[in-house]
Amino acid sequence: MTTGSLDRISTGSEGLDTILHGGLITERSYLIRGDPGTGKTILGMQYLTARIDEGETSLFVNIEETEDDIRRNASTLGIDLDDVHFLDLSPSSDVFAEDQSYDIFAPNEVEQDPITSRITKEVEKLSPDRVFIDPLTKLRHLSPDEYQFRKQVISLTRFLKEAGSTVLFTSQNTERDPDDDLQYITDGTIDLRNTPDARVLTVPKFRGSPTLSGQHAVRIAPGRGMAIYPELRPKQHDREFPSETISSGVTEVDDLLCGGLERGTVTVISGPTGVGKTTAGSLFMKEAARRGERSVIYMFEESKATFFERSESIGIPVKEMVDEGSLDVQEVEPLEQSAVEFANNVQQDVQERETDIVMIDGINGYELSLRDHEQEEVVRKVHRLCRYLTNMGVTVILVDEIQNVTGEFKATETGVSYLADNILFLRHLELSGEMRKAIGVLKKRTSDFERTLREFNISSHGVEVGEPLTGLRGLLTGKPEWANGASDHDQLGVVSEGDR
Amino acid sequence: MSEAALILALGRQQRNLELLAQLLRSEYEVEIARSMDEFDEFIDHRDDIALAILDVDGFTEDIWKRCRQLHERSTPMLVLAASIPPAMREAALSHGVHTLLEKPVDKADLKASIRGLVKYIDGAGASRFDRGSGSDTD
Repeated sequence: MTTGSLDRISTGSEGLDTILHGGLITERSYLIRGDPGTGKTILGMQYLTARIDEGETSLFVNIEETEDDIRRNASTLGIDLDDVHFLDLSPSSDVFAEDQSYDIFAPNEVEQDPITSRITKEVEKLSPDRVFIDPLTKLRHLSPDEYQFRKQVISLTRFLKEAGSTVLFTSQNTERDPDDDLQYITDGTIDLRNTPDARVLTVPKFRGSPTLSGQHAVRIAPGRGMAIYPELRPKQHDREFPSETISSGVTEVDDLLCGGLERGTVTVISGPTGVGKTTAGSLFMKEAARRGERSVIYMFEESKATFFERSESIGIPVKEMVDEGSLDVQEVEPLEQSAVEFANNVQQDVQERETDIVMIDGINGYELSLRDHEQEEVVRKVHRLCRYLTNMGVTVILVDEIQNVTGEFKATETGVSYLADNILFLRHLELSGEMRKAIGVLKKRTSDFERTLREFNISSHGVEVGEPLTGLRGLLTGKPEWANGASDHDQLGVVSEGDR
Repeated sequence: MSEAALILALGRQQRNLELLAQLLRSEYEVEIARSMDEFDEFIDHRDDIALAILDVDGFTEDIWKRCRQLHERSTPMLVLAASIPPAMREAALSHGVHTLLEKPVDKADLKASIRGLVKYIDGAGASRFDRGSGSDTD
């Protein structure tokens, strides 16, 4: 058994251990709070089995659910409780079938002593490293008053600590019997909550140690138990990277950007549907692949197959890039994960594999697809993710679709423009009755940029970008007019990227 | 007393009787009856009942006839009920019941009441004996 008051013990969840800065402090007691169905028992089961293979002894004190039911549920979740000791204090069916009801004495006079003495005996017999009591609030019904209940809980937790056990217990918080009092008694509280869109974990109290604040994501899946994803803390991640500009591979685009995008910055590429935002972002990835760098695209709106087909048809060899490992395209299933889970997956990928560019395509899909889609939250979570990525030297491209095809100019509609170091925008233009496209830079935080737009064209030859459109006015309205007698022919000469 | 006093407990709920017996068996001999028939049979065959504890919930008014019988035998009675309205209290006391307690009863209160009643009977027995001795000498 581990000793020493500041030794740590794993919770059985890597994510929760990270949130708690290494796990629970040994020989202390912790409360898991939450409504029914939030995963309290699952967390407890994972806690009990965390180090059982290393010879630790675990004791599950089940006061309501039967041992058989618990074992069955655990097995569907992929949790093996074979080596966990059980002290089954749940009521047996005999109580109902064999007229075991009584009213002569109050329940606390009849049942409390047997329960506490059985716990005491079992703990003395096993000397468990880990104890999980589910639910401890049952003792409330066996106590004559609140004072006695608190006294019982304090005595029990003290006894378990003195026996060298680290204790997790659950509570049932009801309107009639609120469990607030237990928070004062224990060394820490882990709160589990189901919001309409996601499962959430917070740690409001943890005596003797800092924790990661925030609303952390929880996922419970058959066969995989409970996974906890800590909310990203960008400040805790940092990596040295060269301060340099990365090229798009298209001279005219680089000219617009005065050389390209700076490594470790966030670029929003905005524009209406079909204007070529994803393609514009892919240019930087194609060029990164040439340099032997790795990029990842998270596709929220388009399917992988469509993206592959479209990119190949315009000369961006995405299949080859994927095959050689310079590009990873991940389709994000709608409503499959929360924003925190997504950020964790991105973080894990960046930590495990050297990544230079991450493109999120697009922000609208991100907002709709991820389960917690309140706009303010989305922007805050995108912000954190971007901060993390840029701290790690990753260049971030956010594809942001605006609704207006032409008309009044808007840089973005999702409120992410403040996150951007650079804003590259694309527009549809109607010129002499013909639909054309233009690209321009609205913002570049780290260097100067070209103030004029250029024609942007996508063909089977690739991306073609023209000279600066200096002879037109009203470009941002979508209905430009020639100024000073300049002609279409004079101004809209384009250069093919494929011709270079 | 050299031997444990005999307590007869009557009640409909098995668990109540078990708990009662569990509480009292360290100090007394306890016999339990779950029906009026069992109860009648028991009082017909034993004349050494020191105390009767009657959990009256679930029984009819006939219970008071048994109280009268026990009272005539000078057996003290303690009645338990989930609720004791004034009419029940009056009926019980008028049929010789000594003590009425509302359930759930505190174990310590119950034990104290039983001890008190048993001591009272011992005292009463001693008095009777004293009086008897006195009359012999007279």
